[in-house]
Amino acid sequence: MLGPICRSVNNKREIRKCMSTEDPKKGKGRVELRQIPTGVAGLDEILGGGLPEYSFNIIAGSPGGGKTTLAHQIIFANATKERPALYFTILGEPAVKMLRYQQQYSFFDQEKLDGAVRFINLSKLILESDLDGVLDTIIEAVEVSNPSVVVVDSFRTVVRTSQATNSETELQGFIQRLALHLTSWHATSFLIGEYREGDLHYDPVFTVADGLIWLTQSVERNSIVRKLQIVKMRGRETVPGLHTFRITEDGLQCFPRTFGLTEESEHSKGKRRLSTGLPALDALMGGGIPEGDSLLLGGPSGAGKTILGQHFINEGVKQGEPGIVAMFEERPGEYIERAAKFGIDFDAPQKDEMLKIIYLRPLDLSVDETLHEIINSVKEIGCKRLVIDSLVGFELALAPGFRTDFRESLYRMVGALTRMGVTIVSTVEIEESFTSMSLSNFAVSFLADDLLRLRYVSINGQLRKMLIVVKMRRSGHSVDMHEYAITAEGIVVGQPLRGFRGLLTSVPGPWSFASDGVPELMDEVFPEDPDA
Amino acid sequence: MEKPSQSIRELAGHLITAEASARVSSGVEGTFSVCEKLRVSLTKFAGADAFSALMRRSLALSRAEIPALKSVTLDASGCVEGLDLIPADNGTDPGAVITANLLWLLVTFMGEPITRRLVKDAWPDLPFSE
Repeated sequence: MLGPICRSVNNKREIRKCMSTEDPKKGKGRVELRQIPTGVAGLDEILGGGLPEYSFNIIAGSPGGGKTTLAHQIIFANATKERPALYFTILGEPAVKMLRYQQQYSFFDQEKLDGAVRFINLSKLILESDLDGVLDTIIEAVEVSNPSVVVVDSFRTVVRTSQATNSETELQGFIQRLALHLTSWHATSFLIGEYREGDLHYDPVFTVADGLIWLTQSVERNSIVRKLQIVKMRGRETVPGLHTFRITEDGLQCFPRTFGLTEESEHSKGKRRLSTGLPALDALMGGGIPEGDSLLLGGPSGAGKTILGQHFINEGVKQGEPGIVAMFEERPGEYIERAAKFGIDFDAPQKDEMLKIIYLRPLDLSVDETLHEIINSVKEIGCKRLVIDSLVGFELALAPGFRTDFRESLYRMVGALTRMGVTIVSTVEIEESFTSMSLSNFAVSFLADDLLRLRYVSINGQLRKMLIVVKMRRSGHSVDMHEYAITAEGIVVGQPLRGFRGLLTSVPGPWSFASDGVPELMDEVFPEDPDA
Repeated sequence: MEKPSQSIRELAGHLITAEASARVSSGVEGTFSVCEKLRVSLTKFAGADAFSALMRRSLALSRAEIPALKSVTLDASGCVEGLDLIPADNGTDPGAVITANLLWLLVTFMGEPITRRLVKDAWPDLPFSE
């Protein structure tokens, strides 16, 4: 027997038609979670594309953490006259002061204050009314304005005020009703609050919220480190972990741990060899540095690491392969001047956008931030060769808190850059020991595909220079230890040092069966060596 | 902003007609009946507040289409009051507009399959296609 509804409907097919409007594009009729932009560079990537539309979110953190600035970036990125943003202020930073400071940021569009962004002060209400009164006022304003974004700043004030007179259940009920109404009104909403990590377990607002963005700011020695974490974001796969951010005149800028490189790499390593600009060295490495490799160039101060990097970049320029030098110690002017002494012109390639020299030396850098700068430059000039000079300087330029994660960060950085097809030469200064040969101050096996070591050796009362290719991943290489010198033309690779034992200790002695012909004095090998 | 699709509007109309004819009553009573069935069905898993919030939004959206609905209010449980005083607007049944907006909101927030299940729960004998 048919039920009443079927008896009363003229055509049962009509009902079937109405209830089977599945859109195959949405896949099994799943509700589509659209996303809205945050207006914050790098944050949409961390959020997996943006903020879920109609979500109910918390922006939490300590004072001065950037919560209000983040909320402002979101409202200015989304508000229109038709779908405005409502910004409720409650006993926190007075709106007049907030506007005074926020308008200093580049994202602050004065024209949007003419209807698209609306500020409503609820301070008096929160002091005089109960939670229901606050809720009614918010709902009323929402119903009148039909906003796309709603911000309550600071919601913690609402919670604190209500805790004096309301039970936790009443507060939870209030939060749930607020969330329901804001979502029903197709608003993406943000409650801003000053919270500490311990509050996560006790405050009911965290249970109700769809998303939780946590901003932290910590002082480590003399540096300030800002980090952002998406603790929770329902319906989205976000990038986990702590992401560095900085507040500049453009507002917040995030540096995702993925560096924007989540797609599959189109570059395969080692398809061809890149010349270092020194044919003799290329020969020792089996034909040059495999494209897309990371080569670690280790050696003591004055061994010629920087010059060797300059040869590598200069050769790239000659071959039409744009290069980048990321410097952390020497200043660009000095670097260019030094190259010129060896006949290498870095002025013209800079003008031709074949070379970019990045000088980074603030003492509160994060690796992610540095890499962001490098990746932008790589994309900008189509960089194929990168010299990092030096890893020690890089480490020193980092905020102390990031130094503890330096190895892990380097691993991610090298991986990201080589995925882009960039061939990296990183220099690292090694304190010379005369009893053993250290390969690097850092554990290198995970970091470098190839390893070239420069070293001083004492022969016949002279401090001479020796290089050895320690490792070339996936290819053969010379095992000879070659003498080299720094001449007016730069580095010149000489003959293998044969007839000695203990070269790795830097204080070799002759083999007992040493043959004649071993050059005993420097000027016999490099007659033009200015150091000789 | 998006609006209810034609098929959702048609479904709303069909549900109201079906309810009205089952009770041999007017379209207004049909709307009450549809809202009541959806209220019971939705409240079961989403709570009374959710139904109230969605009805409030649905009424606001419907007022944009039929300004005369400004005099219609909601009672404490979120059911419409005063709909019987509103005449049809150019042949459009105001009750069907409110119901269509409510169904559209459900589809927007929960997706079509869950909305279909909810309607099926409220009208178990309705011949839905799976």
